[in-house]
Amino acid sequence: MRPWAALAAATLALLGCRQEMTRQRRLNTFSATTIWRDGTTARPLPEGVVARGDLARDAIAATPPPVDAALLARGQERYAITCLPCHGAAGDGDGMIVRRGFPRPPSYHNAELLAAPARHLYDVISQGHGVMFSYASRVAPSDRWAITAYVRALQLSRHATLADAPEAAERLP
Amino acid sequence: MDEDLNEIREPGHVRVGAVLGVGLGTILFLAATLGLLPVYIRWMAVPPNAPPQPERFPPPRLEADPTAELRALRAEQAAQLEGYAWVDRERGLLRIPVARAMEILAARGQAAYAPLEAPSP
Ligand code: HEC
Repeated sequence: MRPWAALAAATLALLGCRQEMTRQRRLNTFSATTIWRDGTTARPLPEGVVARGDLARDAIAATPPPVDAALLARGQERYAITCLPCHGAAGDGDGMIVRRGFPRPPSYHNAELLAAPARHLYDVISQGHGVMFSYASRVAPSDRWAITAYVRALQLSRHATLADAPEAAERLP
Repeated sequence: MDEDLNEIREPGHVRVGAVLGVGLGTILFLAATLGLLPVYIRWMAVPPNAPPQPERFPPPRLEADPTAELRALRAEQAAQLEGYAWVDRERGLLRIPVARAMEILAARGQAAYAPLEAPSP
């Protein structure tokens, strides 16, 4: 008789359990709520919040670093990593991603982009443009200027004059 | 043993006409069917009963050898970064190696960021 009594006691004890730790009163991510006026549990940043390092990033964004060989070399490397798969090595917009069906970006050598200020190129990297998404999280502000300078070098390589490159005179057909 | 005079008996003779009629009718029906079948097929535009021919279908749009294709693309694009050529002889515009363009820009300092063409109105 003893084991039966023990089993019955254990069953009764289990039935008495309540899953209070897993069922809590809380707001689920992305769910609606009436607690706040905007009706969502997602909280925006309070006005005037500055993330750590924002001021330094803004300062770099405001003043382009001087262009020298090191900056251009950095830009060349970063361009090859981040932009080349779509925009192509020479900036014609014929990278491998485009061959596989991504919308074709415009060539850097078209009149519009030849006339675009450097700030525009910087902003396209930071904010994206049309179907091109933002690279703000992947390219640091100083590297954005390096890439911008390198894109200018790509443009100049198709837009030079004999005054820029006098040595070309002997090598032209 | 009494005979039931109302018993229905099998008739003593065969109705030759009916037998021949059924036989000949069948033959006639077969002949008419075979004769009219081609007409019917032509009328319905049913294709003649030929074995299916092999047909060409487009090759799958897959990269059979991605490594080789990327290598070919890289070689092709690396070549675009080299060499001198005229782009637009009338306006005096040249193509120069990108390495040379980087040198020229490095010498320009801050002016290197300037757009290469005036914006069109
Ligand atoms: C995933 C492919 C992809 C990558 C990677 C990419 N782009 Fe783009 N880019 C595009 C496409 C597509 C467009 C055209 C967008 C449109 O017009 O909708 C574009 C447009 C542009 C433009 C033209 C904007 C204008 O005013 O017309 C510039 C400049 C540019 N990209 C620069 C860059 C730079 C610099 C990088 C590297 C940091 C980069 N892109 C990386 C796909 C890409």
